[in-house]
Amino acid sequence: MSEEREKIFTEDLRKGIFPSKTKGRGINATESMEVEMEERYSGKGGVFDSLPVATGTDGDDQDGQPLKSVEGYIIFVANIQEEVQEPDIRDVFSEWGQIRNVHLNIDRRTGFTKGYALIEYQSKEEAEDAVKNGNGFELAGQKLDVGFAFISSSSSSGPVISVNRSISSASSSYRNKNGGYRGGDRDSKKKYSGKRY
Amino acid sequence: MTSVNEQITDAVSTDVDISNESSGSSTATSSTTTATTKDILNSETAKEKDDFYLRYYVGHKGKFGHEFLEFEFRSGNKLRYANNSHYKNENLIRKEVCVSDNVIKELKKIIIDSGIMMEDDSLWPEPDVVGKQELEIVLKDEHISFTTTKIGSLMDVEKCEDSEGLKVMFYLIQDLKCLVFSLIGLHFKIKPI
Repeated sequence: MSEEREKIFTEDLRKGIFPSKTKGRGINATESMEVEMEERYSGKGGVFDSLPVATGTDGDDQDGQPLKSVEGYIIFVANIQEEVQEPDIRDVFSEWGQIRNVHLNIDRRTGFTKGYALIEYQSKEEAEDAVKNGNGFELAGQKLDVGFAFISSSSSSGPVISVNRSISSASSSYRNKNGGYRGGDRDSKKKYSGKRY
Repeated sequence: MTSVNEQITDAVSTDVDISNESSGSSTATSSTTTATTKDILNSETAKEKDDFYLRYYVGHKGKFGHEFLEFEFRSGNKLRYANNSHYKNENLIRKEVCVSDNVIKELKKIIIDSGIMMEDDSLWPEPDVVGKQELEIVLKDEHISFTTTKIGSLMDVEKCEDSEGLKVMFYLIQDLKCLVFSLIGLHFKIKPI
């Protein structure tokens, strides 16, 4: 049973092709995750909140467009030199708009900058400006890699899929046929019960 | 056993590289490290990119029920975050958002640089009453699924027979949490923990 279960999961995950190398106690665990998964995602918790995609005026409800966060737009800056500090980032990026928030996280092992930053702007124009002009900008000898942090995706605005470890709703029928990797009832109920907001 | 040791040595040597970098003494090592990471990322096929998966869980069962924190990055760049506690009737928090390729790229870089894919959990402490941590990653053709107990501090790590390996896990988890908390915190304006 455990083997079958694992196989179904793995196939599901890899869409038919097994990873050539697998490792770790969890790989063969029958109970650990599977049993608790029910509990972890039971009740209304099966529904994951997400922010509404701005369907709007400028018709940006297509996939891959920048997604608005609660208080603005977040850009993601990568390839930051490790000794760069927050004031340096603010210096560079306030050029293109008023910065609402900066997260410049540090490497827990070395204590230096991890190499990425998240910056919040209030307006989409500011954020777009920062992405356009900041990308490739040289800071402390390294060219910054700048893009939006969040994008809209039509798959996430569809019906809520109950959280099991399937990749997509399309594969759930496959899984049920194979002996109900996870309760089929729960699956179908959950899918339409939650109203997304 | 020998192979595990070899892996540990590998991991240690990577660590040395990192500390060299941080002292600023050699930019050469730093560029080699990034080149390798870049190479690995560049050699990913479209399918392997799509199959990338990461899940982290930490939790325990106690006075306030099953309390846990879990997040996962799955196909389609979807980030899911769940934080469950019944403490003082607090509600569970569940969030989902789609992140850009830039974020996924950085995430993979963090994973590769950490050297976690070379580790093994066979010598790590088993999950116990204190709690459990699970880390599952599918990257390229490798799939790891590690479980261990909660790690309170570096002191706990040192007690482990495979302390270097556990240390890799210990720091990676913190870096991952840090990234996810920033992402979720900024997007939804909530303060995780």
